[in-house]
Amino acid sequence: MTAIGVEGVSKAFNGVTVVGDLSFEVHKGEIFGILGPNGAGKTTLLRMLIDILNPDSGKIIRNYTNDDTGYLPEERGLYKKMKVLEMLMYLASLKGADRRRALENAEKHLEMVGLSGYADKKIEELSKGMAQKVQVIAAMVHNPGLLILDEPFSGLDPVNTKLVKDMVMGMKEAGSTVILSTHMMNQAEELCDRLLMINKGKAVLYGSLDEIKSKFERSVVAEYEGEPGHIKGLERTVKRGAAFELVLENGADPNPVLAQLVSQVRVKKFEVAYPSLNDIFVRMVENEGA
Amino acid sequence: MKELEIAKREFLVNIRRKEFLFATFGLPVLMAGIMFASFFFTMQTADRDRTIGYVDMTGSFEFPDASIQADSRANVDSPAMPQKKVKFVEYMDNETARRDLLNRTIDGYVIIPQDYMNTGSIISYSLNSGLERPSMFVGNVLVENILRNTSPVIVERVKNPVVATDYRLDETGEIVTKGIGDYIGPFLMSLLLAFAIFTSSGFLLSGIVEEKENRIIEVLLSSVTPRQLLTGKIIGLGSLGLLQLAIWLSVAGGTGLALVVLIPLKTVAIGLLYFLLGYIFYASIMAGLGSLATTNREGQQVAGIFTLIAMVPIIVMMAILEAPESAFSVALSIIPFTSPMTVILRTTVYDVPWYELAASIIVLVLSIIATVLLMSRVFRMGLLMYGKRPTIFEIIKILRQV
Repeated sequence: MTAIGVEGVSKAFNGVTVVGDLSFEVHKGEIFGILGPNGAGKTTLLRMLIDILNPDSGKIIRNYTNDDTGYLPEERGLYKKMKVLEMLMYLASLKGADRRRALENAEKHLEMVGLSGYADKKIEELSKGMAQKVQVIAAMVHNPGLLILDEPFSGLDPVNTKLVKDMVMGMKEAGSTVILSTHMMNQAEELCDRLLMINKGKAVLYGSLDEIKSKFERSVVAEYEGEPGHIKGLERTVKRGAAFELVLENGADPNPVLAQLVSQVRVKKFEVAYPSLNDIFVRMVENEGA
Repeated sequence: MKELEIAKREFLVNIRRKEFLFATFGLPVLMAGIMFASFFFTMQTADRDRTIGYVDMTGSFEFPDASIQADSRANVDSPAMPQKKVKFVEYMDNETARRDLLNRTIDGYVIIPQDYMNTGSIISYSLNSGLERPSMFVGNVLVENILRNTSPVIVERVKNPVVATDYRLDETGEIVTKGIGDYIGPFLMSLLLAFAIFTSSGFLLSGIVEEKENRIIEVLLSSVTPRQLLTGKIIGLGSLGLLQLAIWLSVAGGTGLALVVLIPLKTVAIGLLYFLLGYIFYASIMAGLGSLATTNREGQQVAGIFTLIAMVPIIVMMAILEAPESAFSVALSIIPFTSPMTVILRTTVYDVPWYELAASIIVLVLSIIATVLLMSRVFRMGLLMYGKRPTIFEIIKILRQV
């Protein structure tokens, strides 16, 4: 089931292409990550998904109404003079939410992030981290079917990052679709079912985490006693302290390599390592930049 | 109705603002205070008796010791205007009179030259720079002297030749009576109208700039369309402006001011209509331009320009009141920027023909439709441009695109 379909979407400002010919699909009920370095076009893309900006060309198919969508913009902002609960209820009312359910939801979420004592405080009395948590709650207070979060973890300490992550997981468990943009790869790796990585407005990677990782060569770290002879599928070995990094030929399966190795030497450790998303990200951005 | 939710919030938030409370309650008190103080001080200085010296070089004038004179600044014979007692002191030469003036023994003195009968000229000296001159107090005494052997009735007529009662007839031949209060009414009404329009549309402007500045605009736009946002704000703040006008009018009514300064019901009705139209017109312009501003200061500058344009009718008020049927007055009633205030001023001294009223309202309504359409597009584009102020060329480009 498609939540959002993007077909050949482009957007330029003052003649500079910010998003160029992007196509992808977000499935219902998944957490979809949009990754990319600063200035990659993530925010512009999200603004088009939420219908604040219109694409110059291409098509966006939304299977959620605006009222059934929650949005956390990258540039955070709330009415400073308004009280926390009042603010949440006002934003819920603009989404046409049922007052009673929104109130229950707001109170539940405030409690979850340890802010239930602040419901009657003005926004200007909150710390930056607290205000950010209120803003995240504001995006989900009306229980939306689709949640779009632009850099939800930026500026949060590890404790609050975990709280927000739990809230996002909670929304997914309740059946909502979540689209989030981030440049923090470890968060994306932990949360996202599928990913789109963009650089300079263009897609550089797209698919599930496993699909993406499998496109990159795996490396094997092994410790063994003795000198192995020729091993099929092994390109070269690099000594790393007491261990060796075995660089496999492109597309080679590590299992036969292990079998051959075991027949020749005494293997103490054999570990297949996928490149981290961070490594892939850095590699892709560097390649693009080159 | 999301518009109503927005309207409700705008109304409730702004009604608690210090600026609103001051404009609504403080301003009438301040204005009444200033009016009372200036009246009080005028009465005090006007009530004081004067001592005027004179040097009669002709040697032929007889001055009474004292005379009661109406304040010479008042053209109308009004019982409210104070009468003051003037004491006359004769001096033989200029030097003695001057010394007494410098000692402040006298308030001023006049010299009647030898050739007075041929030239009519007299010279007067005083220490104050105000409107009052010693020469003002001697005219009647001179007339009485010159007509010494004439009947008192003729003397009185020469002193006061025209005691006028002026009537104006309306189109049916009925007499329309106008007193000075009838001019204060429209002046106050148009001033209040301007105030109400600019309090409300000023709040609209600063609200939009604030929403842009603290970035909440993006959250709002993910829930409502720019048009819904603009409509909600205009309804909410317009209701606030109506409330403000209602408070002012009922305060005026409650204190009895409305009885002294008669504001006719027709003027009130036309005033409310023009408040609504004028407010929507200015509010939509301010919203569009406010959405292009990046800081509150910039927004205020924009507001200032429009406030000045709208104030033109009050600046040229005398020209409008003296010739309410002139082409100039008609033009100001048709131009949408000035029509609300001009029409209020004109209706009170002149029966504005229905076709002129209709033309004025039609032009204003058409202008509102055009500005709302144009400005809501500018609003939509302007809202998400922040950080950088658009250049004049970019604004023109935006206007062309819409």
